[in-house]
Amino acid sequence: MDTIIACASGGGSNYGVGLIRISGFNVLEPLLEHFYRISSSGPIEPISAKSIKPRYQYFSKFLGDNKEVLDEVLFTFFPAPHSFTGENVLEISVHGNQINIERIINLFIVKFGFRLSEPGEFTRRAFKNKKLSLSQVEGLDLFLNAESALALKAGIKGLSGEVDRDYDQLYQCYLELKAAVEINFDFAEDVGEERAISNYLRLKNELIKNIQSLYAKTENSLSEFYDPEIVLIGKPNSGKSSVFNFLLKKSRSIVSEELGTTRDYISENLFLDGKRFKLIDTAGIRETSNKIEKAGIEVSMTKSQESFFKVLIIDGRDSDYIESGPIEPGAVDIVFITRGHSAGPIEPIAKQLKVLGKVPILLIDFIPNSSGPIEPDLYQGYEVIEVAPIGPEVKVSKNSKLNSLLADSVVRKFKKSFQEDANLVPRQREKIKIIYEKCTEFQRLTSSEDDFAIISSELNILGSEIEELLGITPPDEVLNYIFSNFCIGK
Amino acid sequence: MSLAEYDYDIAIVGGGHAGLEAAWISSQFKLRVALVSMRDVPLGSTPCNPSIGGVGKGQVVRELDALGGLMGMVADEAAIQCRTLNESKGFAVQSTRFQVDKEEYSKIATRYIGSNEYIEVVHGRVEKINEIAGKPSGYLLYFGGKTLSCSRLIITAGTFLNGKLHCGEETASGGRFDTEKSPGLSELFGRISKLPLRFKTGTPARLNINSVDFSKMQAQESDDATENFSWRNYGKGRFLPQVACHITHTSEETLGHIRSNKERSPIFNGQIEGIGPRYCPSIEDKAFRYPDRHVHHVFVEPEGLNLNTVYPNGISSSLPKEVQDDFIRTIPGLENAKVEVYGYAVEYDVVDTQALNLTLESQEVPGLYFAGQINGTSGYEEAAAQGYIAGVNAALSFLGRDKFILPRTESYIGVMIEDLVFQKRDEPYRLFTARSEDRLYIREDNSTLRMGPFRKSLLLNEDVDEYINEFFAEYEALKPIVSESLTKKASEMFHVEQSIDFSGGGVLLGEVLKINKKNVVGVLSSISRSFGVDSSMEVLRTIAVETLYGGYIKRGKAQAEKLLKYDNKKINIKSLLNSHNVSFECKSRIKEFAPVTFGQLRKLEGIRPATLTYVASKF
Repeated sequence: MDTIIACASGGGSNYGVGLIRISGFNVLEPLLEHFYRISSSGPIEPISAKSIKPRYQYFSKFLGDNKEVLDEVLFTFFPAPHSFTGENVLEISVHGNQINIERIINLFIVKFGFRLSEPGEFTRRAFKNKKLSLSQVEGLDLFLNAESALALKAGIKGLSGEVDRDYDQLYQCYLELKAAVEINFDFAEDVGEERAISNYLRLKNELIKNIQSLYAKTENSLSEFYDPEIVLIGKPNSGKSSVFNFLLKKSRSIVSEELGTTRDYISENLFLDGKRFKLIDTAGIRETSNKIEKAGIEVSMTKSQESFFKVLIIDGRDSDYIESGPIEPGAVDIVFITRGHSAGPIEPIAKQLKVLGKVPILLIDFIPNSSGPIEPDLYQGYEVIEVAPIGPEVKVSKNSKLNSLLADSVVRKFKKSFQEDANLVPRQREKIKIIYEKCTEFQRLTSSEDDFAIISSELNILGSEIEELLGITPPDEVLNYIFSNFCIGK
Repeated sequence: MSLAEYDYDIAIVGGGHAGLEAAWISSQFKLRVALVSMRDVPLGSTPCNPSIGGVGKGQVVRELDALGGLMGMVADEAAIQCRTLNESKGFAVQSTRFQVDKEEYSKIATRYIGSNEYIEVVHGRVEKINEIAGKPSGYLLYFGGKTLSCSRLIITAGTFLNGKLHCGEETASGGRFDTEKSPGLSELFGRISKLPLRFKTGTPARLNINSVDFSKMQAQESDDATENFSWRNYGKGRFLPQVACHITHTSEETLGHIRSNKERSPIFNGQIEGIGPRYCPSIEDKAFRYPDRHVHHVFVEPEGLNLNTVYPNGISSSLPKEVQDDFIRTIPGLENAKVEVYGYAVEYDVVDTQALNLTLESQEVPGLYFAGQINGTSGYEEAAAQGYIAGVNAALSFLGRDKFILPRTESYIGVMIEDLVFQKRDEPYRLFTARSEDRLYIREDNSTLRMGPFRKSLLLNEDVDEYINEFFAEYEALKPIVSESLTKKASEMFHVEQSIDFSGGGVLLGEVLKINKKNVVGVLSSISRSFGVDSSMEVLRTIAVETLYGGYIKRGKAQAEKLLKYDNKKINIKSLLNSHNVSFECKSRIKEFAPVTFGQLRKLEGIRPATLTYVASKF
């Protein structure tokens, strides 16, 4: 196999240290030709391979072809099989100037005939040499590309082999059930009919439970995980766009007094508690004959159903919203009441909402003593949004901030929805979904079918899906897909 | 030496089930066949459980019958209690099992063999076998001062090769109780690979029928509805009067006697070194392997209508006689049981079947075939099937014709032969349905459909060949009817019990059958008659059941093909054994069994998923 080389520490700009990784060479000796030790007596001297202990780090001068010093480096030799790839690996920490990194890599390519690695090639070799299992590779991929603490956590779980243990257990469970099915007709006389059946039923339930618990970890959609949407919905001119702008601290949506100003939806990134969300402003929902507005409203309805977090906005003056409003307050995560300054009608709405079980109600007062359009720029200068839980005893806390209040609520739901152990690997999720469906089919079949030969045949079909999840029979496309995700040097 | 100078074209050593079948099929090629058997051992004897068939094995007997074999005919005539096993568990795993009269069985077998003009039974104990190096080569058999020469030789010596009997501390040499042994395999053939381990099998005590209290046991009557094995006897009913088998069970006390005598058990005190069949455990195995279980079934089976002994199935044992007496008498109904013959175990030499071809011909010594228990199998049916394969191939080879190989996708016989030749034996081989990947297709009901074309390829002209022609004519006539559509009125005529939705007009007959799966044969029968097609029961069953399973067979096949892509891939054992990435345990399994393909590796017990993934990732 070719010896491959690449910079493993990212690229693009200059930084302190760059790590060059070389994997697959047979002997270390020739490579050391460029490394010189700084001897105690002063001059530099060559380093013999014999003096290099595995997995120890050495400081040395790195010399070019004309014995000129190119860099001062640290290098470590990992002999096979105790390396990342399972092959002989040499790692060189050089100074992280891009030109420097390139010339050192080039030197090895020209002089030793090494080849620049393809994306993910180091990991692929690690996989082929059984240093990493399929789910570990997927864990590594997840880890390296994680954009949140949760994804990091899921990544390390995969990488450490914890996910493998779950899958091994599933496979074991399947094998036991398979044996129990066989016993039912091949050895029923030896084992006893009742025992054979009860054993089969017990193991069947165990397998189903196992699959269900794996499935539960895939139930949230990945897009919800990576880009959870917070959607603002409500009647036209209830102030959605104003809230949108206010949350983003910029004027993004056009705001006017005219009903139906926002006809499409607009989305922007909103960071709450360090996590990225997508904030979406939608067209107000009402009866209209305008085709464009109608289409916009349809989009609003879809968004309001699909989004991870739904904010219903009610105009404080709209006193019969609860009876006649287009969106049930019960179906949303939080309700904002705008134009709280026109205090009169708010309390009845608030009370009705409370009866509906919508506890966190925000009373937002943008412009005191004004009933006009909420103008986008006007939030500036108003440092206080009056936010208060509504009840008989209205309490106004002058210091609460809308963003942090929303953040609390959104992040709480997010943490609740995404169990710590959510599965975030698309391939595994897809396979687990198929296994779950096949398992449901299998359950349905076994409830009506008493032909054990059929049961066994269908169980085999379920089993081969499980084998694919474990990677016992991995289709090539899957591997290519996985490794194409990696960058060069990983 | 020319061909004609050999005394026989084919000689078979051993007159058990493998030997009989080998003689029977090779005689159909009108060759001169010698069947060499010890004088004191009756032909086709059933030294252990006197029954033919069973799960997986019933299929084999029917396959043999459709191939022109002997076993089904003999079993039909000797049957004294008949059952269909797994009746409630689906057609694919249903199997016929006949209890046979052991005296009658041998008599009937002897009658068939004796009346065959091409087979000569030669009595004697073979002491030495020499290869004749001439062209063509042959064999010279020495026994009792006489010799016999042959061109092709089939060894079906059962447990007799270097047989050693154990009953408690008593040991004797012999192939079974009251008979002498044959010389060891290595004494007979220096060049034949045998397994380094010997195998062991055992049999329970035989009890005096008059000392058994059947009133304390549950009777299991013979089932009249179970069809005979042989197509010749379909619809003919039973040949002998039927009797019941009885079921009783062991208790904690029973196993207590065994457990407290562990050091006197040859299996557990090291006296027996041979490996017994996991799938047919002795009562000692049960006692020590399942220490928390005390209740095991015991089937009390008659040995014959005129014999005064019963066979207590489930308590085979090699414990000392007095321990056998003690534990047997704790079993309900056997409190006063009188033992006529004590149980014993026998150890014997086994051929390494990996050194055989799929024709069961030795790779090391061409012209020499092995079949039956000597190949490390257990069961009369397994032995008979090998006898057939060895016999038919010895005959074809003698005639210079193509080999006869049954694919594993078409028959249990093919499954067994392939397993024997491609897998290393580490315990006696017993056939069961899980050995097959195509269980929904390889069924008892379609044996003629599956085996017919293979039988016809032999180009023999016996009555079975005519039967196969008739079967296929009827099959082709009935098959299209399944895709006919049926109106509501018509369905009422056929008393189709369950409600069918006729709103879309006619309903395919095939669908009607699926809805009536409990009475699928009956419904097809009445409908086909109304279409003016008259079919035999076998054709009706074949088509009815294949209609039921059609969709599932397709799904399973599609799945199997997906897997087959990987299963057929060759693996590099050397690199696996040298890999740092394969665990020590996996390596030792791989070393021991030397799998050639990924499929074989996958089927090995004790191979970790991680190893499989590792191997798969290399493809």
